[in-house]
Amino acid sequence: MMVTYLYSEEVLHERLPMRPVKKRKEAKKMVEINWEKDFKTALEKAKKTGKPIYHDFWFDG
Amino acid sequence: MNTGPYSDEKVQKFIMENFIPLKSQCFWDKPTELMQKFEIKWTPTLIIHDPEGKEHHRMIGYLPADDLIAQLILAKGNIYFDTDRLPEAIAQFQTVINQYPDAGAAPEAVYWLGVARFKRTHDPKFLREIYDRLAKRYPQSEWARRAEAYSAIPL
Repeated sequence: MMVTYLYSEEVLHERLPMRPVKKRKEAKKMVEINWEKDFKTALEKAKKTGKPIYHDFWFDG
Repeated sequence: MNTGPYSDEKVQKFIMENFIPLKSQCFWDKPTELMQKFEIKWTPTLIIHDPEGKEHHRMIGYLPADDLIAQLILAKGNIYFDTDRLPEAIAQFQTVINQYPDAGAAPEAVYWLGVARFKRTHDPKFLREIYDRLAKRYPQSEWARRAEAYSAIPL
């Protein structure tokens, strides 16, 4: 019976140190908008940071 | 939930770097306190407040990414202008004009740039410049018509 071992690329690199290590492209970091839900909290953060508030009044309909 | 213009990475980055983002849900059958306070009659309504909560800029409807970012830079300029920080206001208006010349906010930025420069220097040539720039680059805009009065200022 043939047994197949699956190794991650990193594990293989560790086991085969002579092999040139290819640098993986870093995954693109996604920026999420972290919305505040409370006006008072947003005001407190705005005062602390000096940033203005972007206020989106929306309707779910 | 980041949908519409908020799914654009440029918009996400710009908002997170420059603003505290806040969402307030509206209910037409039972308007919230904030809806009443800011007289919200339609959605989406987008308001830019300074850190004290005072409103300086308002937009109705979601805009494409570049138009939205240009409006937000204009809004930052408005905050500086309203609080007499004219050099900072000038820098924001200039950014709109340089980086987003085709955005809807650009003619308005030309107008306020000239006004801010005039207020800073008291040199009326900056008012005349508003008219000249708008008549040349944005002749169909409402802002060009607003600036028509300055066309009589001698160079």
